[in-house]
Amino acid sequence: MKKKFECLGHGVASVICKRRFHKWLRVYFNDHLQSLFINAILPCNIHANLYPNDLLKASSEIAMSSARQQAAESTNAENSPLLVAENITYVKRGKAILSDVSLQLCSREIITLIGPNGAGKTSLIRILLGLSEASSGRVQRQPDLRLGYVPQRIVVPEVMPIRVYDFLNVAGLYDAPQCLQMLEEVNCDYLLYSAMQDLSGGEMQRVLLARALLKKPQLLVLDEPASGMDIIGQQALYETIRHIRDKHDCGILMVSHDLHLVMAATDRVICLNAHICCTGHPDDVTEHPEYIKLFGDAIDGLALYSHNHDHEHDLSGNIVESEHCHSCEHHKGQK
Amino acid sequence: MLALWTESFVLYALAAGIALALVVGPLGSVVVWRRMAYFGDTLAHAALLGVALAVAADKLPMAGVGLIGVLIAVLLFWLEKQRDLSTDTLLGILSHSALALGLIVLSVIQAQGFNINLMSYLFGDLLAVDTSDLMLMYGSVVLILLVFSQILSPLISISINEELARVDGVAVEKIRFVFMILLALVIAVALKVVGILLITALLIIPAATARLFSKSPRQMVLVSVLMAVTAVVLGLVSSLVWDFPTGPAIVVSASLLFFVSRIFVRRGSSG
Repeated sequence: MKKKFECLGHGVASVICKRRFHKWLRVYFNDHLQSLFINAILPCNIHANLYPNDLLKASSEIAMSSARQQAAESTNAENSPLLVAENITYVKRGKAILSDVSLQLCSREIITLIGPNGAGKTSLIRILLGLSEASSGRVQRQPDLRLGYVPQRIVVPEVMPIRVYDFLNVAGLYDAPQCLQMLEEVNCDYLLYSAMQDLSGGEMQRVLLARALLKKPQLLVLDEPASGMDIIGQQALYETIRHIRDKHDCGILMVSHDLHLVMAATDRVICLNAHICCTGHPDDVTEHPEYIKLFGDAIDGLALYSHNHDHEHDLSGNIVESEHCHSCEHHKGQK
Repeated sequence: MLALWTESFVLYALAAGIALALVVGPLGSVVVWRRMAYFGDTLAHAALLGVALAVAADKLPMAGVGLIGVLIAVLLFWLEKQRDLSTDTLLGILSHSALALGLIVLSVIQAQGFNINLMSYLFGDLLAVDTSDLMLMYGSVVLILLVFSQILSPLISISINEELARVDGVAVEKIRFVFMILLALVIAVALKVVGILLITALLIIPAATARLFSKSPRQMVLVSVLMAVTAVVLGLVSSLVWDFPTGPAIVVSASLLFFVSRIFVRRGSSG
């Protein structure tokens, strides 16, 4: 028993050395005492199954998470939100589209706006982006906020000769390597010199995303980024979005319809139906009565067709060998 | 024939034609991207009113056309802000009201004894260009190109998608307005060269031809200048050789260039 404690102390101490944070000292003491306490009260049989390594890992994880929390709290206190909307009301031709919507967008947070058709999702992001004027209420942006906007789709006039490179570099601010690098990040580097009019829906989405990212946005707004994509494409896209948040340190606001995939990639969900029905962590929101009232039928009535492919496609459509399931039933007949 | 080429009026005509080609190429490209052909037509119809008023006030017709063009641009800009009617409806109203008003003013001043050679304004009078015309034209061309080069990037941006441009901080309204004013000035420059009735052709056709050879917006702007210059030279030569009216000869040359290119450039090969 004593040996275990020594290991524990040693492990946590090495974590501290690595991180070299003063704060951690305090965490260490808290945690050390805490683990002593856990050790003391845990029933012997469970205790015996815990290898010292596991315990070390567990305790250092506790230490790290509490420190992360502290760090998050302190940055929240220092950094004001990127954008604050207060009591937004939007009336169009006598019809109230939005009533009394207030929200805050912070750095490094992925927020998803969900809601049925006609709930005012698009109106809300247009107001936040400054594309429409709210009837009342106010939107306050951080001064000189760099905004990246990825619309659902754009139709480039056929009569305009324009390649992806020209589109990314309209203002002449970037060079080809920069554009290429950003396209690589969204897995579309093969498109640099393709005509904009030749892009597929998914490719267009990624190019629009690359364009927004070139500006090094502090806040990225995506309007139904996965609309018109198959489920594989959607998964890949949400993966990319999460990766973007981590790499570019920006806040992300997206509008979405596909509940399941979105929930997994989101920190906070805002459920909108003219007013904000509920908001919070995805797990909490899915249990909220308002949410169930809005989407309950859809969730219950929806039987997902789940199946496996014996191959996958990369983003350019080439077949790549899948690591799972080499003989799916529905492909057998074709072989 | 050779003697004809050294005649000063031919050189003046060439210089004037090239002045016009330098501006119709770039502005025509944007007109094509933004589907503003009808706006060009409206300015051209309104030009008749400008000419009539200028003659009545004993001022330069070019100045009258420029002024009325700017007025039309301002009026359209204001009407578009009201948002209850679409732009082509508004243009239909402006275009034909201006034309009708022009015809009335014209008949009134003709009744008062003013002598107007209507044909020369309708189809241009390139061979009658003199030094003061040339100076005024080149002055305008330099001004137009200077402003245009400043707003080309935002113009491309709003031609792709106005909302994206707006989020990127482009002052969409301002850029649109400035471009409309530039277009009004181009109509004034074109008055002597191809005349009121054919100016839209020179905005559209060289740009459409350039589309077939270009891969990027800026390239299209440059190639359309090339196409417009070629059309002017071909038109002038054919007009001297076969005694065609100069303005129409330039427009027909531009069309020939377009059709020949269309036949020889495979569809989508540079798309």
